[in-house]
Amino acid sequence: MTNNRPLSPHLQIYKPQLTSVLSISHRITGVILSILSLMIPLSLLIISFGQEYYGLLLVILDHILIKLILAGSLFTLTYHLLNGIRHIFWDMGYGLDIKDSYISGYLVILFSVAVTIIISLMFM
Amino acid sequence: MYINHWKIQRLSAIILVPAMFYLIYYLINLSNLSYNDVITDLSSLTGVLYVVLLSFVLFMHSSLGIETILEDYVHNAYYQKFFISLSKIIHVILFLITLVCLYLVVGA
Repeated sequence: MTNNRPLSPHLQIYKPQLTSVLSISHRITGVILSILSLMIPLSLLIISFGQEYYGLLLVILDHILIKLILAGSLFTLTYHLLNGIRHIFWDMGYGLDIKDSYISGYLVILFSVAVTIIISLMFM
Repeated sequence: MYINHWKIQRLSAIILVPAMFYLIYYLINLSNLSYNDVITDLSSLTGVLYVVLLSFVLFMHSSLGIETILEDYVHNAYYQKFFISLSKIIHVILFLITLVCLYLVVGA
């Protein structure tokens, strides 16, 4: 382990491309979802407290700021989910060339934005 | 070791795809359900199996993902080992807490 190993990519001068931005976004959304996974035991705990607490939870979820956070969480989830499917296809050997990976990349953005907007509008 | 990590990460991802689609569908539909409906669903055999399997696979997937990220960005070997172990312990604890919370819901 010496310090003169080749360093790549040089992030200071690296030109971001769709593929690299989607790649790092997959990791960032993954970390956010790991934190959001705390909501699974937490929501179960609140439900176990009884009907009044469940009602209170629904009231809190109805607040506009919470709705915005939920919309952001929904986008994070749909993005990671759809991009994850893209990764699974790559692992099976499909869509690996540059043209296909750009098409699938744009599709992931399109569908994750569309799904987020459509589901969010249902609750506005 | 690493080939197992790679395989489990992909297998858990494939299981999570339909599981998360179902979770999104259920949450969208939540406003049409009463408190008792939710309790009935969560207490049913399929409900319990769903939550146990979903949380197990999800925390496994999360643990492997965080491990990969720590391997890439924490360069000090000692700290890397420490944070990976810490992350694994937290994930196991979260899974166990989920089981306890589900037990409380079924008993409610």
